[in-house]
Amino acid sequence: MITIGDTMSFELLYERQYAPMVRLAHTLVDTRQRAEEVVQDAFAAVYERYDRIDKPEAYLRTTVLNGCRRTLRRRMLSRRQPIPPSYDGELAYNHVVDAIRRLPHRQRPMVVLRYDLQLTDTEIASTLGVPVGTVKSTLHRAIATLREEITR
Amino acid sequence: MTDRPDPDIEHTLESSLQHHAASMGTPTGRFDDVLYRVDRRRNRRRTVAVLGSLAVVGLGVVGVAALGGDTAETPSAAEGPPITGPEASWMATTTVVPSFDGNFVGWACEGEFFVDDQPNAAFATTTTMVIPADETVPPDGGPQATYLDETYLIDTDPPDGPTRYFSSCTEVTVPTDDQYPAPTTTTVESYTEWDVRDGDTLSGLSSMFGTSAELIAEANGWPDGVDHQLPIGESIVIPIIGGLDLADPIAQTTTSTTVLPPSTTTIPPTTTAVSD
Repeated sequence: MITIGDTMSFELLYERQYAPMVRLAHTLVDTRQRAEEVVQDAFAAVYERYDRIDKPEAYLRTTVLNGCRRTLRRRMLSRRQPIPPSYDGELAYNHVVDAIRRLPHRQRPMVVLRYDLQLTDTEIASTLGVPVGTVKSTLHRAIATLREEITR
Repeated sequence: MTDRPDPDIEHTLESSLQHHAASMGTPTGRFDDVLYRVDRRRNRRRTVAVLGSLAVVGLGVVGVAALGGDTAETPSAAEGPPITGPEASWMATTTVVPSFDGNFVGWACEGEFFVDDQPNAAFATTTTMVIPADETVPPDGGPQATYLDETYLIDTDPPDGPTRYFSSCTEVTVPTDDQYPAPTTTTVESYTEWDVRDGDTLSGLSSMFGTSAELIAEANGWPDGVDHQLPIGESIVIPIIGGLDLADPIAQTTTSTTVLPPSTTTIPPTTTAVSD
């Protein structure tokens, strides 16, 4: 059963994490609307088992990322195909964000988790279910690519 | 090559992403919409469970209805009988029906699929499950239930052709050589690292680890794919493939072959036991 206290803290989680999760999702899926859809669905999934989750924030991140992958598959986007620059709504074009969106699919969430959400290697590893070494090496490659792209 | 990330580029990234976040404003979601989605998920599972239990009781009737193509009366999602079926076995929200014409062509369906007027479609799915190679399954369980929602039930021979029952769905095409090697399926179980030495080749490494060159290239994000020159002295990521079959613990909790008409099962379920 979800008690009042749990509900309250779920609402707090929602308040705090909604915006960062939308940013995370939006680097993977192409429109902000779709990103918000993914995030709302992820919160619904978290809500259902909130009383059984030890680390709601970590659980939420993984759920959002899985949701993005599912969306990408449905939209027939190959994982190597970059997401076109987004001009929807109020977002100003940001060439760094654009460069991140052109990274291989696997590298994108790591960059966002590290440099936007400020997670540690260990946290990123547990979010993505990969070894810490993989996080380090993948981030290293992502940074190398981004350096080329950004400073070109 | 530097060993450590360049602090300048890291700073640029952080400030650009901060700027990006600021330019997005503060998106505020609608909390009541989350609650609505929770309700929808529950109803969907209830319906699916009801359909599953109906399948057990009335296989013959359902089979005839499915083959005949007549529209059967649809149990209503919200007003259906209480859950009596194997709820967990019908968590799938996406169904992909392949046809083997060189490509994997299928019809992907949303979860609401099960509550529309095509209950037979749920029974047209059979027993082979594909877990896409890029999916994350934390070894300790983690958000497994979310993952279960992504289960793919594959049917190679739906009665009367797939479009008849899947007309409300989105067509998807996935090349067979990409993430859905059909009909055999593989999934990346884990990753390991390998320090590349002089003399290593991509094909050598892939056969050594029982994986494929394409998966290695993909996991490392090489833009030139399998043509990439192996970086001697550096470490690369090797995805380890695990064969997925129905003895897989996840598969066991998400599929139930007992609720399916045996006659529609054209892919024999893999029965190889996987040790825990």
